[in-house]
Amino acid sequence: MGLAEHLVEKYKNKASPSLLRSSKFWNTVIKIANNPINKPSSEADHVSANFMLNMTRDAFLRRKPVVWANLLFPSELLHGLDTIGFFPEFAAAVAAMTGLSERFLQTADAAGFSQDLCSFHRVIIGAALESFLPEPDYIVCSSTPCDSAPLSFMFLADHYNVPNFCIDIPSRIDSNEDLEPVSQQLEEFTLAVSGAAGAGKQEAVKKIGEAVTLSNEARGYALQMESLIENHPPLINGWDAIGNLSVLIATPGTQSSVEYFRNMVDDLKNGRFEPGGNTKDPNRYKLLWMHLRPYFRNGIDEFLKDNQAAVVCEEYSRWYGPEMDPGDPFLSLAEKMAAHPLAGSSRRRMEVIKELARNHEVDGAVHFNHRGCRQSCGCAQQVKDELASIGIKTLILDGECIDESEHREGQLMTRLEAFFETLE
Amino acid sequence: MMKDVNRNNSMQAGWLCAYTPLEIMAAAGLTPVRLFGVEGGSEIADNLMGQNICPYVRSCLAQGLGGEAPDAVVFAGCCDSMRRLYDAWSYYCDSRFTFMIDVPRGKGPASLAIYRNSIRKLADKLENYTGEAITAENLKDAIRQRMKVEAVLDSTSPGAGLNGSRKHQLFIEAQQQDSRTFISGYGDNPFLNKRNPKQRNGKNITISGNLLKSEILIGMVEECGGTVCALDLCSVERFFTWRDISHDMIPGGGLDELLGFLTQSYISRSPCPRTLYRKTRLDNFLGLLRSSGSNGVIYIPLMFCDPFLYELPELKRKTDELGIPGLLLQSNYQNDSIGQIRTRIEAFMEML
Repeated sequence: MGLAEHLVEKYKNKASPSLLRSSKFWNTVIKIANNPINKPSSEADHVSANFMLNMTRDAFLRRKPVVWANLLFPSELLHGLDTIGFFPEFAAAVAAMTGLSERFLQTADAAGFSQDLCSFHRVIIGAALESFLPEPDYIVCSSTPCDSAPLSFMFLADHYNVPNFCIDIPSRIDSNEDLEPVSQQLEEFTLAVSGAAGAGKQEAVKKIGEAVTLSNEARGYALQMESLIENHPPLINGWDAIGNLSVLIATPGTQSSVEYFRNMVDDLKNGRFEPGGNTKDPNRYKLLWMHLRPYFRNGIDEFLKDNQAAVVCEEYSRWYGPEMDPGDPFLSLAEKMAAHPLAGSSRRRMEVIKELARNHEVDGAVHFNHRGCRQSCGCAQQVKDELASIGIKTLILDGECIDESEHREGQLMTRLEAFFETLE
Repeated sequence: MMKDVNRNNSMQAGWLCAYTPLEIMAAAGLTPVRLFGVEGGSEIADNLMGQNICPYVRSCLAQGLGGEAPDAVVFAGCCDSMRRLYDAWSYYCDSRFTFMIDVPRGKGPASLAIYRNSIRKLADKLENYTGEAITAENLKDAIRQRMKVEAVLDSTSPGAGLNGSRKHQLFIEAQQQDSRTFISGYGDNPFLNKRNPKQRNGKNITISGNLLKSEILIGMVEECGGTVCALDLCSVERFFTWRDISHDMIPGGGLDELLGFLTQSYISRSPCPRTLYRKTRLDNFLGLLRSSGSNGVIYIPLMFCDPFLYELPELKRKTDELGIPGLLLQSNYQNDSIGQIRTRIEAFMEML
């Protein structure tokens, strides 16, 4: 039993808002996490697990100002400002993993939020209405990758009566003139938060510069890691890589981020991961996985293994963005935000995906269509056609990441099975 | 369908979102024509974009795939579905000109700069496309013409006595004709009192949503004894940009100054549910209900419209507080399921 399962078993029937706000609870959780029995075999995983646990504990115990942020908001800014970043979209995934999402979905439903909306955000709303999330002091998001964060966060900022920021990002960056307004918005956010965090603006800018320096260092290791992952046969299972998305979003700007990626490089070089994602024959059915995956307990992973298929790469768990200038942190962070392939047209995303497919020499690709996601599902067919142009078959797999009641395991398996037959 | 409504020889340019600066298209010598999609569904468009995307967007893609859209189309990055439509259109349709403007959610200086930069790029690209320079003079002229169009539309406010169907029709005409043609048809002819169907006395109903494909739903409410007193749609009440701006406020400077003026005017218009200024949006909506004396609201958002669906619980809560009942009908943007919708409207009207 892994750490997550252990904690779920222990607490799932006792979970309550007051429990999550108790130091005793968090002391116990961290003690369990650091018990040698539960310690992950990989040092990188140990670093990331500790970081996430500490961050969540500090948010619930409100040890510093808490800032809620969405996936593409640069964490360097939050760490530089000495705030606690909290990423509700991860919290929704954790709720699904721990079997708590259903009640939160029902709460959101009862509050009038349509079931057509993204279940990540319905869970966030339901959990917030039930006081299962740490109260924010500020809420911030970027206008990309999707509408759900700006829209649900707007409701939540009203609910908590806290300031709400949305950083608008242009879809097309032709020059610094397009980046300046993004940089300006980040600076305005900094100005608003630095008072609350007890730092003057100048001091805050200095610390953000330091966070940017750490981010650059982590980036160096992350790029090395990505290069190693392209090894043939594969050195790591892409499912594990998808789990690293939270690290990529929440840690940049911290020493933990540097340590995580340095350890990943070390682990990969020393063969500490099971090669090829546990397939008997690592050269069979190397898959590129696109968008996300179900976070509740499901049999897809096992099914892939049984069919000797390995997810060898996926699109989100990669470091996007150039090296940044610590002396000009806002413009640099603006550039990082705009550089993400989900920030522009689908053409940019498709170029990244094709490069991944080529570098990893995949046999096929799966685009997982999370039911309420317009931004990703809306271009799945284009992605499929574009991959076909370089000779790679794609399965568009309709499913759900969070709402288990919408999960059709048998159908998914049948479609995957049929897809594998076409790869023969 | 599009060609029929073009009554002069200028080239047409399609547009979809009310945040599209029509004046720049007109200043480039193009007739802005709003796309309303095709009749019936389109399996091909549904397959290309997926079933859980806005049905208006899918219908418009079908229009593009069928070669029924203008050669130039200006998109607005106002929501995920629209952004993906731009992508799909650029990928699958055979248009000579496509461009997507960035529509910020905020209205601070940085957000205004994003919109201004974007419409400046649009102007540059349209100049290249049409070969016609966009000058300060022709942009000013285009703004004046749009102001006149909106003055005509504004005269349909409740006092004009126009019924809901005719009012909606008039707004759609204004979005599919060039300004001069529309003005010559209706301008200085305040209007229609004599020759148009009048409002009947019934329960006052506001229809709130995105945009309607036709007047069928409005007609149904009217047939059920209601009076459609306000249309909170981006094709009607939220279509206005210039209603509160007079001719003498147009700056006399050069093109840059005019682009700044356009930016300010478009971003300050009555907001759509996607924007960050929810309070203004709610105030405008509630103000509309009060000024029109609404007894009930029919919400008819397009299916999968996230901006509207996230806003809806708050809208309903506010209208409940005012004691104004609401009926939610989700629109698949096709005129099907008529019988079912009629039954629900009848029941709602009886309840009122």
